[in-house]
Amino acid sequence: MTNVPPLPAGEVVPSFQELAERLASAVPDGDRETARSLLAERILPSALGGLAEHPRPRRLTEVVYEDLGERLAAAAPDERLDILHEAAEVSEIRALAASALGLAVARYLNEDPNAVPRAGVWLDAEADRWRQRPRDDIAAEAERRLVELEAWKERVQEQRPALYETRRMDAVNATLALQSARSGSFGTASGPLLDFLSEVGTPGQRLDIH
Amino acid sequence: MTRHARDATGQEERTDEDRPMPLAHEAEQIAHDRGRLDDRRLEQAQSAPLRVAMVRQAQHAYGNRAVGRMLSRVPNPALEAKPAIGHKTGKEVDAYLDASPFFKKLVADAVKAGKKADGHVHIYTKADFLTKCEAYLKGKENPNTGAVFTDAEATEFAKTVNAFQEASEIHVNEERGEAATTVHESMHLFAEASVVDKVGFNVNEGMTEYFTRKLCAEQTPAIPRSDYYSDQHKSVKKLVGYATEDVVAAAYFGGKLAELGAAVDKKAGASGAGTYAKWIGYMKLGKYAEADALL
Repeated sequence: MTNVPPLPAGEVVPSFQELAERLASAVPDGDRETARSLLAERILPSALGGLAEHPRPRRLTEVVYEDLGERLAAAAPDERLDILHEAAEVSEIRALAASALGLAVARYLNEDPNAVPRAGVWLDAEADRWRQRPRDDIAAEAERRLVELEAWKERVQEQRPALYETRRMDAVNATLALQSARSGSFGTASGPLLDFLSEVGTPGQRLDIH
Repeated sequence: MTRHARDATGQEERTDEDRPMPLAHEAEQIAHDRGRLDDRRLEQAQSAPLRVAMVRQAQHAYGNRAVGRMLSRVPNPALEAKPAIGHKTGKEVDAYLDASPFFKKLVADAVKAGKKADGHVHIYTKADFLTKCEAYLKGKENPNTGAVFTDAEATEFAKTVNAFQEASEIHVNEERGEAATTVHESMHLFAEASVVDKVGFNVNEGMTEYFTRKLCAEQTPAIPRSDYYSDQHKSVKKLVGYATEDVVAAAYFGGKLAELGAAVDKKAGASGAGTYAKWIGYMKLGKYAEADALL
């Protein structure tokens, strides 16, 4: 069993398929196809979603690759596929949390366009795209994400209770942000959404929950 | 690390040695599984294969000793009742900080000004915590409806919460989280007041978790800490490696955020101006890998 091979030197950013192939080489033969598919379809697209906008794309790729490589190398070979299954669940909650925040920011700025100049880093490409859509579209997308989030909670709570417990607050903050994106209500907020509301000058009541 | 052994049938099973303490929900599952194994219907002859399969599954999950107790029906209060989390008290956290050469100097001014965790960490029974949390939510707007939380909504929401902070008071459910939960929550009390507003939720949680783990690791025996706030912690750990622990500690406990920003930008080199601001920006959005890639 090999550990993860280093990335080729240079500034070239390898494709998701190439990265998946290299990382999957650390997984036993029988698990390799599943590993490749988890990496190429669920883990890497989420982890490297910001590649196009990042000032150091090669370095971002190295950070993600090295993190996954270290986690694989630290596990026994027959546990490595499970490490990737868990990484896929983590990728999903990160993506849901990011999407929840983006939709909430978009809904807020859709209703108060005067706040756009104060939105700063919060108005990323995704939030800007949604901000310009009709309010009902934002609410419908929030509803769709809430359904996905509930499915994630149910599945991970049952299958990986320890992971669920340590990621519970990501799920709670994402749920509240998606509910705000759906309802248009921003009077109470928690987590990063509260930071955004404070920066645009309309801080909601803080839900300081843990 | 979990060790494995083989039972008489060659099935691999977990031993009790080195098994981590069960989290509250795992204990609930254990109690539930014990109930399943106690089901009288499994004593019927035609249920034997099912019973064997369930026993093997439980052995694999919990180990021989625990399953032995289930099968012998020896009363085991630890399996029947919620385990006591044993949350650290505010007084204990104050003592840990005072005994630590690293932390003592960082919190000295705050302690001199009267800041302490003792008397501000309130640990409640489950029922009392739910009542307290419902009161906290009363009058607040429910993002789900746009109206204030109804009593029923507050009750449901409170079930998802392990702890909450209201001004300088920390309220904790004695059945949720782990012993170090109150260490993390108490650490928030010692952060310089403006830090969270300047760095945002994620960096604040990452710094709090970083110093929580450090304080927990200093104790003998070390206080176990699960991988809470893992993304935020990992990014702050990288920041510590980049800007030094002393600079990050001075920012968190002393509010010296401008110095932290200057240290990061200086380390980033001639073209590094603005690196800290970009790092903060990515962290606010929860883009942790993007933030790490700047350092």
